[in-house]
Amino acid sequence: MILEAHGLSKRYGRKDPWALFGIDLSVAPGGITALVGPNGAGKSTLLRTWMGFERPTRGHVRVSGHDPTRERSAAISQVGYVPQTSALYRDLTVADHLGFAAHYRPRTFDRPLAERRLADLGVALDARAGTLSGGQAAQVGLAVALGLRAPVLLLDEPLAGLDPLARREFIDVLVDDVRGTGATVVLSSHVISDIEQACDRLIVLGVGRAMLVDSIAHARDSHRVLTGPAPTGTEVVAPLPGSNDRTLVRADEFTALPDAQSPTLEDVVMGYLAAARGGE
Amino acid sequence: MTFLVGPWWRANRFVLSWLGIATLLTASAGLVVAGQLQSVASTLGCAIPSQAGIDDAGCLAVPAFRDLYAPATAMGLLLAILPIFAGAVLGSQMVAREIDEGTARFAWTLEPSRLRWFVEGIIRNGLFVLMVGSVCGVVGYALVATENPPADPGGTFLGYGLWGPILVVRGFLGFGIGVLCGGGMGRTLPALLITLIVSAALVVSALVAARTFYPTEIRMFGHGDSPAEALIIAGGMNLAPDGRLIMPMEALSHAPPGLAESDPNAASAWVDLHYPPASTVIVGSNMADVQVHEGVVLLAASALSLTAAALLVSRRRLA
Amino acid sequence: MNVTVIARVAVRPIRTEFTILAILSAFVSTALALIAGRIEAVLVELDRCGGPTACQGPSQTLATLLTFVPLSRLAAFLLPLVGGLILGTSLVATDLDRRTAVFAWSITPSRSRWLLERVLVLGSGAVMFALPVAFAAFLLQRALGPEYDAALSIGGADNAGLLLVSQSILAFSIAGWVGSISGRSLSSALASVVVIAAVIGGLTIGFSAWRQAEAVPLDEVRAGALVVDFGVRDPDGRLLSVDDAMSQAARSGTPFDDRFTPVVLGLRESNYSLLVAGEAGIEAVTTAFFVGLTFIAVQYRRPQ
Repeated sequence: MILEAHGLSKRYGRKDPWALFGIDLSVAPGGITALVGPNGAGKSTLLRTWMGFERPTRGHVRVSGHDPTRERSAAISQVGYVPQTSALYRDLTVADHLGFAAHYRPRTFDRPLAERRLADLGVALDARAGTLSGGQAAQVGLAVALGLRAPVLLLDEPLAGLDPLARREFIDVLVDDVRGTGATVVLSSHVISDIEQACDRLIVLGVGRAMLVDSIAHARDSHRVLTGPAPTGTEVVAPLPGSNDRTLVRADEFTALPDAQSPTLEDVVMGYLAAARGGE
Repeated sequence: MTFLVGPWWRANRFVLSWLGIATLLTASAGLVVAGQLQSVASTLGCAIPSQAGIDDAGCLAVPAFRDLYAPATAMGLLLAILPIFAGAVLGSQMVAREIDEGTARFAWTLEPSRLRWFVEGIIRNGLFVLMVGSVCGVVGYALVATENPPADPGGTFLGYGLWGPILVVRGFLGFGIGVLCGGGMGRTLPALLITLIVSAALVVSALVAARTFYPTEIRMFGHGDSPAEALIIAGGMNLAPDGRLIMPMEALSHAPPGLAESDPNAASAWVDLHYPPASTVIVGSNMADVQVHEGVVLLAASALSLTAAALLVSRRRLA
Repeated sequence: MNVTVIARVAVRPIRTEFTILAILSAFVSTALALIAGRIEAVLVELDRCGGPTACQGPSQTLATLLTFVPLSRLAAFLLPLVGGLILGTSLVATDLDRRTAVFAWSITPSRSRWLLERVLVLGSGAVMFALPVAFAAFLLQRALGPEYDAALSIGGADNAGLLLVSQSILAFSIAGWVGSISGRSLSSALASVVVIAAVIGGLTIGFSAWRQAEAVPLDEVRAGALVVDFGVRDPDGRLLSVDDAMSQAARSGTPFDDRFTPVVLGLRESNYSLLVAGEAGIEAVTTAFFVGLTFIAVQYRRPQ
């Protein structure tokens, strides 16, 4: 497993609520994994812990077998990271950011690749980061992260605030790159359509705990949506919000359930988000 | 109008606490030293008119008093600097920090009128500057008064600029310039640097202007003496028979030939007799007028800066 | 090491502060050098003028120039400290404050290397701003005492030269450490003012005690030496403090002046190198201590 979390718990202060509590999960190498969860579920905290930006209160995490708090250098060398909000130096040009990455990762940073990506997206290298739109800043962050040629990419809601076209371009660039390099990506996002386009695996994080870790295809196959009351003995995930008495249950296509339908990815995600909220 | 005092305090608690604690500590230390000075002065009976600049006269002749004089002077200087520093810090961060941290986007979208947001900020921070300036002004007065017993600094130039309402005015000056620099630059630290430089330059200019343009009088004082209540404009001069003030060296050049070389003391006595020592001063009774003029000029500079800052804020584009 | 990249990343975000400090440094050092030059020239004129009438102009000029000396010395003392404070605050706090530390620390595998490079670039900046001021202050020192070698004047050591530079670096390291903990530019600048004042105040008291301890009787008080105290010798040649001697005289009933010979205590000019190297060395060690604390803080720091 390339990314692991074992008994991971995190809280910021003694009196603060747990941001993550007893998380056990692992991500196999390759592919794009969606990280979904309600606001405050701890998605950013989980990604930042893998980055070594947060120290676990309990438990531990591993990146390519390295503990990012104890073997930071080895762990960080394996990772490219795009944060939720732009962290670029607003007074520096895009080219300066590429130069910065080339300086600190001289052996792995593929500057021509990053420049090509940015040229394809129409981001000028001599533009100051402070003058870029939110979408362009996200693209610069992604281009730098992709240029690092890191085996792991952690993307913390990079699509938030982007218009549909910018989101589509971002995802296209990401998918294209991952196909070529075989990198492992964890993409935190709320947008189901983006997840369907880009991801092949799904982690649903409840408030502080992992509710579902599965491939997207299997997650859909192993759940059904019932209309009306669930028969006794059915493993109910949660009633689906805003729907006419529809309930998400755990059951495969061979289970005999009257009026059961195959769920959409949105049904699965909404069901687990509702379950997470109900279990708070 | 609630003025959102709670959120303002929570958002700026470090800076406000720092300035508040610095003011309280300095003021308390100043009051303690002033109390000790007064106690020494009254116990040892040295309350005779002191002649500033002469170590062996008045209370300064008493070692216990002299030991307290240096810390008292340092406290006085700190108290004089604090209001303008507080104004500069609060002013330069009021707009700049919101722009720098991106919170202006939140505030300016919620508030239908940026001007109202701006004015409320001016009132909240301005009141804090007023408080700091007032405390420093009052304690500064106590220090200057106890350093120069039994003179009353009120209505004199004793410790001019170290006490009284002019400290509040200087606080407002720092605040106004700070708001303008912060609003223009959008970054706190460089705005603070420039604010401190510009404010210091304006305060010194106002002092120089007062000295240059205010009516002066010639007063007869021995070299080394100076009138405690007056503001010396040109000291240590000699009065020529034609009424001109001349440099001591020029006065000496009129002494009988050879006297300066053969008997310097006799030459000096001759000069004192024929060209008595004198200084140009602004007399103490004019202090209130000078202070009002200086205050008005500095307040006008502050108001101008705030108006310019208001225009800047209302037109500023957010990144 | 790609110096251009490091310098751009470290300096460009704070170019306004850099420009202001560069202008201030140039202004203060030029002013000090000009005042020093004029004082030197006027002193030469005063030597040659001969007679009160002819000397009237130069002496008036000298009096005017001397009124600027205290302010110039204050500026020479403060500017290196302000430069160190501002650049130190920008060492870590500015990146944390603007959240660019997230970008930087996600790229660099070693935060220590990132910090080391910034310490080198911004620390050099602090030296660059302090150096001309320290040199110009030295010129002023030399102009004020042309009768002795200013480069060996212990009396003037605090006001010019190496000690001003080492204080600047010390202020830089303290502000860097405070900033790495606080993570906010303005707050850390304000907090640093207090810590810098406390540390430099403490060191000054320590240095003063050291100078007192090192002081020896000076047979001849030469310009450039540092007088730190006064004492007396008793008839047996033993060195006593004035207070002790007065109480002995009171006990024995002997007139003070008959029994004791006044002695001036201080440091000779020849001790200049020892004193400056010693004090600058202690400040360098203190600087290294705070830089070390900054490295530790950065290792454990959570970027916002």
